[in-house]
Amino acid sequence: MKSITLLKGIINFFFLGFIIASLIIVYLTVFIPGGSLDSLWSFLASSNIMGGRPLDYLSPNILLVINMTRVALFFFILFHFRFSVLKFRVDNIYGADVRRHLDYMGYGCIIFAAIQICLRTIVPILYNKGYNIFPLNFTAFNSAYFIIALGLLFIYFSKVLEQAAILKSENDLTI
Amino acid sequence: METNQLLKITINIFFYVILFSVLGLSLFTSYAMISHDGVGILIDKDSNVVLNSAYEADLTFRDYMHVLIAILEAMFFTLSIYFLRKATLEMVDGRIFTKLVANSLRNTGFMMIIYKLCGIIKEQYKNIVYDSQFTMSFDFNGFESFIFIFVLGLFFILLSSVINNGIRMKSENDLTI
Repeated sequence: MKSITLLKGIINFFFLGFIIASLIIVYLTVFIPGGSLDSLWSFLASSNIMGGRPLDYLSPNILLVINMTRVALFFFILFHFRFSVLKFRVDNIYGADVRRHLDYMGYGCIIFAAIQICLRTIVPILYNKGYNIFPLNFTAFNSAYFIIALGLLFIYFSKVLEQAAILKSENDLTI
Repeated sequence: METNQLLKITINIFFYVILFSVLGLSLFTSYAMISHDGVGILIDKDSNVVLNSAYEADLTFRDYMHVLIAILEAMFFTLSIYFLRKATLEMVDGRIFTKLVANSLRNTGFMMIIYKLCGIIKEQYKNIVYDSQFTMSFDFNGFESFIFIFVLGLFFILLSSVINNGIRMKSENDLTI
């Protein structure tokens, strides 16, 4: 259980870093001289945060909505990841709270990846931009396939923890 | 389709695509480095290693080192997916509280952390050797972020200790019965 202290420290750092980095982006685009709310929107609309081939044939408003949704979903996943780790306590390792957060994380990951898959497969066809037989990036942890597998794993782990909780209650009853 | 089956299919597809891509690219890169038949490697400092059929670059020791680190990084990535697949398939088959699952999850966590460390070494090597500068940055966005992968690795290590706890409780339960 030594790693849990390290894990809690790092996930707090990452969570706060994510919020601070987002605030800095807002500050740099809106509040510096010459900046405005429009420049924040255009920054978000032009950022290719989906990775891979740019989706610049989509209208800026659609890109803005896609990018905002993606950032919001990542925040959602991170939020529940942080809570599931923070609620991991030695005395309450199989708690219902942890399982609920794992479930939310899993569904968040699946929706996140589904958006990515739709954007790389269906949207290019709708806009007559052809179809790429390998539309998705396989080579890293931000691959949609990995994110789906991760989401399903989180949901599965919540079931594993449920089984472990039953085992623990049986054990406690026996004693 | 059940979550278990979907998980099994997804992880299998992902693993085999990664395995063949990494093996193919590593073999082709090694062949291109050794042979002189017109297939060359271009070390591009922005996009890392590029295989180029029309360019026979004169590679130096620093380029070979760069390619080697890139291959190591890909190898650790494949290993992390391999161990994750191993644990997943075992769990999906109903054998959850076993030593194999606990060890595979722990190895997945370690491999993820080593993979990301290799990525950092590669990045810094590129900056120091090619650009003569040292930069330090934290990436907070996305699943490929260093800290996120580090956290995920530690989380898998933590899950392995949870499985180990489960194994202990299960054996106590079985003994009682």
